Amino acid sequence: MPNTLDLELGAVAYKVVRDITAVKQGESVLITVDSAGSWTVAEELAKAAESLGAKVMVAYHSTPVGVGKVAEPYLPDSLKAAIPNTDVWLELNWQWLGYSSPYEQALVPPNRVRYMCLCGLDVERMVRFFNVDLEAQDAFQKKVVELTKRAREMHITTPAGTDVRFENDPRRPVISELWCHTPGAHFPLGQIAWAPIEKSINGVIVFDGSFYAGGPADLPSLSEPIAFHVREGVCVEITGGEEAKIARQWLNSLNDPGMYHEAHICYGFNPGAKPSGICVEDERIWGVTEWGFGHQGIQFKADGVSAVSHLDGICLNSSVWQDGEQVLDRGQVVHPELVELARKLGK
Amino acid sequence: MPTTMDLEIGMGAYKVVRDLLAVKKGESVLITIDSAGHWRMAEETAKAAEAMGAKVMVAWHSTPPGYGKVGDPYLPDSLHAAIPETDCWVEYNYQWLLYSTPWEKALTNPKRVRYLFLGGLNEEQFVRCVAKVDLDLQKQFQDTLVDLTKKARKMRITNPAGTDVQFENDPKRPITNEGWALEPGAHFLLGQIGWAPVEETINGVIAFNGSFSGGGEADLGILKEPVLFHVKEGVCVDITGGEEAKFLKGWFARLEDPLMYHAAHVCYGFNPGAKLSGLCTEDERVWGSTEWGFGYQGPFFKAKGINAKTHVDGICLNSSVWLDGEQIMDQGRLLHPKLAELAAKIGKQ
Repeated sequence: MPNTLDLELGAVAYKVVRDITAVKQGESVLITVDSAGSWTVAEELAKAAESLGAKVMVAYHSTPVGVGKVAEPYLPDSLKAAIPNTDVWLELNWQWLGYSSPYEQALVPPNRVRYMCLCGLDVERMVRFFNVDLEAQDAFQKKVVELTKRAREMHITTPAGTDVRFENDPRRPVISELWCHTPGAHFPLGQIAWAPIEKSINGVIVFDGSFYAGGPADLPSLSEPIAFHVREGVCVEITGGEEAKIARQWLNSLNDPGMYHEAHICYGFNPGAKPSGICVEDERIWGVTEWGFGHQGIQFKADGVSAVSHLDGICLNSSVWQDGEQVLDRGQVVHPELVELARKLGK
Repeated sequence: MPTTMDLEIGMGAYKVVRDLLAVKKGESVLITIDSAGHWRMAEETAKAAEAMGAKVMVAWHSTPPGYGKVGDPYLPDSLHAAIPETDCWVEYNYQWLLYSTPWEKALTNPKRVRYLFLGGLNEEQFVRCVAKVDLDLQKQFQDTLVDLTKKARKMRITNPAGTDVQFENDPKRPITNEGWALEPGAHFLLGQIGWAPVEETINGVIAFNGSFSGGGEADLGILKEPVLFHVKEGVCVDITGGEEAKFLKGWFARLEDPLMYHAAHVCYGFNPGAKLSGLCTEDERVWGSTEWGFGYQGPFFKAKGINAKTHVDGICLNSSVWLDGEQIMDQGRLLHPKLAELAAKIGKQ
């Protein structure tokens, strides 16, 4: 008997496996899903991979108590052995395995495994995320990357009070997430990320969407904004209400000055994403900007801030200027080279 | 909302984990199940292992086209890697991984993995052959039969379909007593007692009248007419019977592996819940049957170690057995006094 969205899920699962991950006949495909994740999604991805002639395995396992390296003592040994030995790894875990030792074994440096992070995506989110015209999305993201790479002076504001300026380094990559065609870590479509020149970042960043710092400071639905006051790339003050206090206390408890260093900025441009209380979706809401502080991934080829953890915060309805030219106005695309491409995506 | 036999399956899964495998807190437990297998047992076993504090992983994967090494090229690489790296492995695969390369890696000279084979069991079979079995009585019965068989040197087995085969046992070789997986090594569903006779001493006719299982197209299920293996000094020199025998003769020839004709083991079937169903795991445990394997010989038999491409099993129903001239069983009914008494308590006399 069909369940709600069965057909849609079947279609997007096929799209993820065939188009986004480009699974080929005879490849080994590993799908990991912990008991808190969505089995239904895992099953549909497995069916799609099977129909493409892959050798498929779904590893359904105990949910660890935390994410990344924190999870390691709770993982079955078979899972640790399975992860590096595959051509494709689709991760659906709720408590994600990214940055754990088996992840690092598989992906640092990337050699064989094409990894796609689908962490925490349930049936509805899968359908929202991937029920997208991939060619139109690709064209849109390419143009955003091109414009961003060209820009040096950046200015971002939001109605909640964000007003921050910084400079880009043209030698640093602008990472556009959509395809998973090469070995390495890949993430769902609609995110474009880079690391600005750290010392050039000055102003106020006001998180009014959600805030994810782990532990007690995972605050998926903010009741009041949290403001990070940034001077030369370092957060020097956190202001706001009760949630700002929680964030402040948590960061203080980590006792690591690296946690206050800005690590990256991202645009969110997934046409289906909406506020849903998980980071992977919230940071892709169309027209948001998202800032990361703390540990800086090697993919950004930047200063390489090392910290015990990492936090992400979402600024809704962002306005963006690149070298004085406005690209986004309160979340709406206004740049002439982008407007038509956004319209094709229904935005 | 509960579905059919939910409670029974839950109870059986708990028995598997707590009693048969003695899973301890913090152990890694791997459950493998291919897409042709029956998912509910895998899920319930995972729940029971989780409840015991184990670190659990269910590997649900593409179904290979055959058993053992025949399946090797079709298994995802992650599965190859996962299998040897665990404390416990419960196999629910329909096209089983037993005797495959990752199995050998995990279980030849076993140091860590406690493997319990429950391949292909559906919900009903699992309930009959695991959940409903009185483990204490079953253990007494199996231990008694193992002791008697260990002492015997010359054996004879017949059945109404025409089996009449004689052989000798080597007292140095082990007699496996299946059901419990309490130490590293390969263990199988309750109610099977198996060993490898001295290969060269096996002579006579083995008439399979239950079912025949060889993986892929040689999974014949319940036989329409008996298939007779004519055995000389441990090697099958002719296969006779009807259409199924003719098919098997061709299938064996196509494998182009002379070792496939070698007798690998004999087993008694004594699971009180087993019925002839066409599934080898169940059929070879039908109360009062004997079962012969040909081809690959598991390392746990500590015998010649025949390294054939694959392995086949055939079932001889209603067997009569003589141990050093003393008949202990007549057409599936126990004659030995202690065995007869225990069989009566189990409800099978």
